[in-house]
Amino acid sequence: MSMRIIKKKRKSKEKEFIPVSTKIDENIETLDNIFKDCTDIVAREFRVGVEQNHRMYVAYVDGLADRTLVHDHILRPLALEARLIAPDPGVVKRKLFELTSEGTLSASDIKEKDNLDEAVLAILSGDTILLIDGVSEFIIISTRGWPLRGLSEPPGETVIRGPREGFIETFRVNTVLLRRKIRDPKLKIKGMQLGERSKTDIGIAYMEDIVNEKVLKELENRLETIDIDGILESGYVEQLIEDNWFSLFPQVQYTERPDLVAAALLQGKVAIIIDNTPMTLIVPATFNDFMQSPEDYYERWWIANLIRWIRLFALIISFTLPAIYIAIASYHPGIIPTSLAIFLAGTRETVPFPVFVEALVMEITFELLREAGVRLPSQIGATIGIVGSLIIGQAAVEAGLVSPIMVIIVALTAISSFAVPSYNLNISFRLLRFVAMLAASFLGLYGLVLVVIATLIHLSTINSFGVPYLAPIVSGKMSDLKDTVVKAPFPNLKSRNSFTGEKDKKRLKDWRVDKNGKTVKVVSDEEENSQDIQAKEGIKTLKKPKKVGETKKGGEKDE
Amino acid sequence: MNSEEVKISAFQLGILIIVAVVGVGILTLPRNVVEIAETDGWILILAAGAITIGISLVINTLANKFPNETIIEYSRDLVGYPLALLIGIILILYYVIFAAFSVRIFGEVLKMYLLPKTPIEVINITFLITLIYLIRSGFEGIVRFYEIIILIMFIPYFIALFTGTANLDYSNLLPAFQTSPKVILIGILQIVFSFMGFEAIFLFIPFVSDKKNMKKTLIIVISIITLIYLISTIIVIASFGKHEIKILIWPLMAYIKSIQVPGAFIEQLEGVIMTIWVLFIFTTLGTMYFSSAFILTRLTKTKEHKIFGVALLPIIYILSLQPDNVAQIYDWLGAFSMYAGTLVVIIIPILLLVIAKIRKKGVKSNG
Repeated sequence: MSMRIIKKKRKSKEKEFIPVSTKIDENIETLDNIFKDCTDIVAREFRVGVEQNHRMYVAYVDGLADRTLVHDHILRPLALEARLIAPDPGVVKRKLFELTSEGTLSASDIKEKDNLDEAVLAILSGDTILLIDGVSEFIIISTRGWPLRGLSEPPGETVIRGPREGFIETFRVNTVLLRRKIRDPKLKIKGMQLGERSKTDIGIAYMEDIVNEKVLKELENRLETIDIDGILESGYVEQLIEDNWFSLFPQVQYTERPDLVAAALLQGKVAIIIDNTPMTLIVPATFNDFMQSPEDYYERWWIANLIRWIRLFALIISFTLPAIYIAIASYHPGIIPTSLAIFLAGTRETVPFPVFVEALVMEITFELLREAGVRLPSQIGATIGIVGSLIIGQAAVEAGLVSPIMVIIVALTAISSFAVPSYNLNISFRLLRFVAMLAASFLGLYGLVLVVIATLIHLSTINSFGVPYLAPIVSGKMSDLKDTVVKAPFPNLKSRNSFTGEKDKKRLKDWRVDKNGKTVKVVSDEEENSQDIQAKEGIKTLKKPKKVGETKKGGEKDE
Repeated sequence: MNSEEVKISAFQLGILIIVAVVGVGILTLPRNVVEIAETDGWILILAAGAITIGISLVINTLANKFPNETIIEYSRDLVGYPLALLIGIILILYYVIFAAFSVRIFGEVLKMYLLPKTPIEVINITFLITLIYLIRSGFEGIVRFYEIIILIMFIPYFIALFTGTANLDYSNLLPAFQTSPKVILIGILQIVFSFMGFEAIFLFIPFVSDKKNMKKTLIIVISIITLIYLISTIIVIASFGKHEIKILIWPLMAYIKSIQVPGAFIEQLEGVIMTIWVLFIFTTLGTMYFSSAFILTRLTKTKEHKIFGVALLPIIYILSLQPDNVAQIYDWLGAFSMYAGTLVVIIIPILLLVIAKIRKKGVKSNG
């Protein structure tokens, strides 16, 4: 399969070559033709030198380029300061280009190019180009600067404990956020541009010495096959690189949190940073990743365990609860206590529909409410809440259209579905819930079990970038199980996940805990000296943490 | 699928064996052992477990002599093409017929305890269609699925089993050591058939990447199965006593039905256990079904286990509807496991090993 993909690589990689003419007028005409009717392009021709005899030309996009930078570091030095000093005219004539690029310009990021097509892309990316008469090269000065959104906490991924910053829509800021988290030259951010027209900047971030090479290679191959007019959001990329298009389950993780991306990189995963969206993609993504929140690692392990179990429980509830209700109410009332069964039958007495129809109507009503809630302005949102709870909840029950227990079931299901940390996994199970309800209405609990089995089979079959979707659980290695549904105490999480971090397994070297998991007393140098004075017998105390076993004994003897 | 592509660990094959073996047999096991040896039934289970370990080690030794071949290939090497083809066909028939009986028993039990008004045809066909989905996911998918499902199977099973232990009367297990060794020896074979399913290692050992752990894994895994059988049987015997068990069709289900959980949200455990038990049968049948499709791919030297899986569905379905009632199923099943079981589980492996030793075929190994 990979062979086929490589053959299909997009052909448009080679850029069109438009040579730079030595006559500046021709170049200006070419650019003017290209930028015809583009009112946001600012172009200016000016003369440089004591005698004003060198013609130059700058062009940039208004608003995309930092105007003060263009004024202070390009135009001012060239147009004004160059006039004050008069070098030897002969030198100027011969080395005008070198003088300008190496001397006069006071901007830091400068590139020299000879293809006008690149000039066009540079201008549109926010850079400024400088054409000089009589030279068949031009200069690209990096002047990117546009109004940015402030860093704020991502609304979809709030945490109680943890950093409050999130990615924003600017590629460069996002890489900065990442670099600030990992100050290691091994953090590589490979750049590429995707989209025939949008030319969106894409960065592939990974830790060079940890990353799973197969995943990285596969990702690069898949990204190279993308030949699309524009990439407007990470979802475009996600859907074009995922393994299984027909699967209900997300196979690429997205997040707005830099700390989550940094953690994934340290596990050996690969992140795809995309310009114009705060959503960063992480591959490979497994079922386990979608059930975790970065907070799990910030909180102590007891709390993290409790929360993870609650999440798993919530997932099961949101998937199966309406189906269980349908199955019990219509096939197996004997399972629940008799008094409850009688009460249940009593409340359903006035309901004219079968349980399945009742549940379906209520679930669809809830989905309607939810969708309407997303679209509505927040001022009217409260109204919908009241209308929803009053009409759907109370009035429908009083009218005898639905039973009160059904309302409880739907509400519980809805609450549970929001306890799942990732929105896209939540959607998968929302859809499956309807399948489960249908199966339960035909075959009771047996039908439900068949749907659960089929779901598990599907989950066992799919892969994300060659990594099994149920990865850490199905690998058959105990060390991988420490960070799944259960989370072991932090000192025990010493190795990376074997699916992504095979190259460099060790991630935590905690000398305070010896092989048997017992805590060892660590003595600092100063303490050691004072203890030496106290116990002159020469009992070994801990100096180098490597001799953990001995120190334990030594510590005991000290006491 | 071939042995170069798919690799599983010994641990994963161990899980496959556990979920493949524990299935239909456990329902009737307490009655079977009590019929043979009354209250000494537990000795039978231990002895049968030991014999099963022995046979599985024989198969393992055979497999180690031909590291990259399944029984279909190495039997060709040992006894020649016609006989090897015969072994292949016997294995397919064995799996298909067992699968058909298991589906039928499953349908009957489900109908009795969970869905009394649903026609058995509907239960069987929906079950088989879900099985097809499993078969299509291939060997690797199946193994991963088993790894997940084993937790969902056994944790609730043991919780339910031990919930009822408060009311047990352990004096029902007495008197002990009353059965003559002769009776035990004759009866063992019948109980060994409760372990059937482990012969899947005939086919799947070549896919194991760490073959040196295989021996240890087999011993541990079959001991675990023996333990599961032993605990279940002892609890059921202690609950009912030897006389009552003999008149129950499915003593284990009767025991679970008798458990009352006062004050809990779930009043009758049988409904819950039935849903869990669906998984037990599903994994057993999934292995049998996949094995038969897999042997067909090996015999025809193709890789189309998906097509063979679908092609076998009508055969298994029609066969499953042949017996008239539960009593007849167990009559037929008893006779079938007596002959086919003995042939497949005992005669074929030992015979092949002897021939391999005599003709000095295969690579030497410490297995």
